[in-house]
Amino acid sequence: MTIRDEHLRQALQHAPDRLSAPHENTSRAVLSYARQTLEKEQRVWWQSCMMWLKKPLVSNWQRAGVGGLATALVVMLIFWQMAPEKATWPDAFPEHAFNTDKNNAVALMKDKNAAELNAPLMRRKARATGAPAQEQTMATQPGHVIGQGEHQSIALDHSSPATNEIASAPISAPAVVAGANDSSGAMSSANQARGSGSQKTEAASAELSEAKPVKKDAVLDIMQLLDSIKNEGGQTVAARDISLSKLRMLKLDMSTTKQENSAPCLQMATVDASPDMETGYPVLMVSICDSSMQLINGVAEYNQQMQDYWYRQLQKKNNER
Amino acid sequence: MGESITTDEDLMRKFCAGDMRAFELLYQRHERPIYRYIRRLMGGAFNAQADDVFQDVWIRLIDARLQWQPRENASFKTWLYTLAHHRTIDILRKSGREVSVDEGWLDDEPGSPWQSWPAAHALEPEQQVFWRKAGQRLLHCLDGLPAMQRAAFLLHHEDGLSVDEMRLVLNAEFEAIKSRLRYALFKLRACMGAYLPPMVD
Repeated sequence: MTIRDEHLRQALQHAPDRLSAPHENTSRAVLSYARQTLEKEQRVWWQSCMMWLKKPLVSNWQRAGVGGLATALVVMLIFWQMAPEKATWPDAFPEHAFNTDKNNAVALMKDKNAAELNAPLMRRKARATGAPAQEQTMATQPGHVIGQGEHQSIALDHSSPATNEIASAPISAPAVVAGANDSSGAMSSANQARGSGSQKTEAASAELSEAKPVKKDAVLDIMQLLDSIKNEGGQTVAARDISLSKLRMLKLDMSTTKQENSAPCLQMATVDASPDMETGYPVLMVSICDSSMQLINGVAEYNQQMQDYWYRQLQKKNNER
Repeated sequence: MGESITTDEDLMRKFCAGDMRAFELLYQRHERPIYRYIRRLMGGAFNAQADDVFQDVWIRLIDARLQWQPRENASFKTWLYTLAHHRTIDILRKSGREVSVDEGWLDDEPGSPWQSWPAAHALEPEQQVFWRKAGQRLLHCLDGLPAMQRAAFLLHHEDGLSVDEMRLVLNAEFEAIKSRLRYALFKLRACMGAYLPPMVD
């Protein structure tokens, strides 16, 4: 419906202001505003993060937190992408390693040079913990085979005060605890993971089970730890370890899984020469036969939980300051 | 597809999706009509503020672009004029200018203006001069109308909005719009005097 007056419309079209337009600056301002709005919208997420970090309201500890997380991510990526070392088990684990000597030794030093390099640190650690001089001597001797009776000194179980100290401080000596079969139930899954295994391994296991008293040694602990991680999940196990002050990081070495059937598939645990870069917790290198995703994910969860705990402690300390 | 056949709604949709070129076209298309509407609605006394209001309207449009939804009975043009109308009326109110429906300074001029209309008999070059003068007179007459009647007249005559569309822009009932238009026409005709032809019907 229209109620138009044609003559008035004509008059309006011929009005002197018919060609009037906004000032050039006004038009420029409108177009510029529209452009800026669109650019702001299209800003990628990381630019937004940078903008957030630049805000004066963002405090230093928030920046530190973001930085810490970024560092942790980078470290994790580095470890993730590190190719597993080519397995050299026959050399690293000569047959005599399975023979029980008078102390039922089943482990040997993996890297003699590393032991020499880390000897001063180990001595300092021993002094701090008041460890017996004999252990100091043994620890500094390259190639020293750690026997069954000595496992407590490098035990990864932190439940006892002595071992707690070792666990909470970076352990420098590359002590190697070779995995051996045990007739106890806790070892059954490890045996299964090992698959058919070789006759040599079985023989060694038999010898060990005869010679070794049923003792909760480090190897057994590791086996149980891996079993627990696999069954209960990394987070649960890590939470339990934290409550027991067992602070450590796990690192899986899956090179053993690539062993041929003829070669023995050995479980082995090594305390890494250098502690975790971020947390400072000792790194427990575990060579495994079981490379299931369940276990790998579980270990990742375990480590994450440990990192989170460390970060929370760090924040707590900062707040106290 | 040429730019000329792209509808306002398509351009607005593209702008909402991040196309700056679409906004430029949209702006180019509506820049002058909207500016004229604001300027004329504000009246001669407030012409200086027309640029500010105009800029404010477009900024509001840009900010509110994500709320815009194309509807069947409400085009982009209607939406734009709604923003412009409300913003202008706000400014007029804040400026202390009366924004009533019925009141204005224009009174019916005495006499019968239709008898002395000269344009129909004017020569071609003179016709231009005549219409220009008529336009000038009309702007003067518009200043005398109440803002709501002025808005109704401008939207219907200059910008070609239908009464239905005007209902949305002016937020008024159908009958109220018609009434305002009739009042506006009556007063303007009376004010235009010699610049209008005699009434036919």
